[in-house]
Amino acid sequence: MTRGRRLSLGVFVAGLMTGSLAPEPARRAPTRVDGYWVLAVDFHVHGFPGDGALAPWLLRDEAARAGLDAFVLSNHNRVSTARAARWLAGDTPGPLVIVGQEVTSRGFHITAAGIERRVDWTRGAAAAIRVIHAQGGAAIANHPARDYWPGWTDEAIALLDGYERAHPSMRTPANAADFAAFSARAVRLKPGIAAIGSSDFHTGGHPGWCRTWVLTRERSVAGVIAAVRDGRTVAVDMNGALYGSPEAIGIVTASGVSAPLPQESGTWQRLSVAAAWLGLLGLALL
Amino acid sequence: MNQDVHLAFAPDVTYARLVRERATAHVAPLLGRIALAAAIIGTSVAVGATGRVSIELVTTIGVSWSFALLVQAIAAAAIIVPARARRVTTARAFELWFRAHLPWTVWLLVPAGVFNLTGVHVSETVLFAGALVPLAWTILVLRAFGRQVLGVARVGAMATVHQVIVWGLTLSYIAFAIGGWDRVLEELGL
Repeated sequence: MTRGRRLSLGVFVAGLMTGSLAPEPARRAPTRVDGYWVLAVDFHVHGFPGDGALAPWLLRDEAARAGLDAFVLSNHNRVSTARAARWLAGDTPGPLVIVGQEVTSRGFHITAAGIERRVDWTRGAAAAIRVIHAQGGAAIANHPARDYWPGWTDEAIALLDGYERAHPSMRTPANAADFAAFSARAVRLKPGIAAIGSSDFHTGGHPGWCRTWVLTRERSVAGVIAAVRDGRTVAVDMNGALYGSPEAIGIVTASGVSAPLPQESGTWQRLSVAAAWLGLLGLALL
Repeated sequence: MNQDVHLAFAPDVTYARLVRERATAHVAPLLGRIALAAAIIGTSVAVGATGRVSIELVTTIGVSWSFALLVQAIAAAAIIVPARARRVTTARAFELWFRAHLPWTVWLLVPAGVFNLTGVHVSETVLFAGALVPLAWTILVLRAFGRQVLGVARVGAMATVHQVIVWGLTLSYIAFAIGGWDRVLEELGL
């Protein structure tokens, strides 16, 4: 190995070690108000194996860093990764792992939160939601922009427990307008439907970028699912705007909780990434 | 600059020289190339997904996504093993093929560097459009590999077999990951 490559390897390893020793963000303490736990939940996160970048245990660590109390691991049309994530988490401290599936079909995507078995995605939205309910789960319409409207009949919307009111794709004004239009339709067809904020995290952004404040009676998966079914949620978008019923927003506002803005990389982190990056470049070129 | 860089820019000349240099493999360089590729994948994915690096993140992601290297190894085996006019041993051919990583290395490292400098993710559209460069570049290197290392006369057919295997396996994983082949067709507008 040449001197340049040895030096590059040293810089790369130093970058990794610096990153490993970087200070952790402060963890948010759970909040309780008016008899409710105010939990921060991300209902739509993808993991590896699947089209998410991170293995389940890394995902849970990222969720904790983002101040989440729970997240739904919802890979496309399968539950195996989510079930593995729950098994790996066990009873260890950290965010609750809720088994889910993004029921993915032409014309609609649904988060099935709190299920155990894969839901058939080929028989229409209403049939899928009935299966989700039969398994004790909650059904949430995902990123309901215009492209995902064709599968949403009035019957299917009336069966929903929630819909994504806050999602990173709302940064596009056209999508934001579509979300608002779907929201009006959903609230008309299903008064009390839960407003949900989700990150749809795959490989960029971070879990909890958009999130949901969930008002639960108990800090458990069952408590989260029950709260969604009762509409006790407030969606938070990436700018901190709140969506939901005035009562729920009032409770959340009174609790004083706030969603952290997208994390800025600290100097420590940027230095460690720069060192690792330069080290790899050196190893590739020198 | 090391030989991998020369290989990327002058593949025929460099492969011819490397073949003359040695016909048998050394384990350390082969393992080194594979470890470097895994480290590049682990680092670039970690930076894109979390904005940070750590030993746990890079090693776990590198190992998780090393199936991409397995795909490359399977496709390489499909052209290396049956090559009757091969001028080096099978192991040396693998070693020489894994030296052709530079186009994809650049494609993986640049977005991570941009994100660390600016805090802005390179958009998926730019990323996928940008993948056409390493794709075409690698095919040029592959053709030189076929000519100089494997002694293949019909390098066009060989490159086609290689690319069909690489992209067939890649699309199969994508189909698994995004919910089935009908979703792949939907994304492709079919």
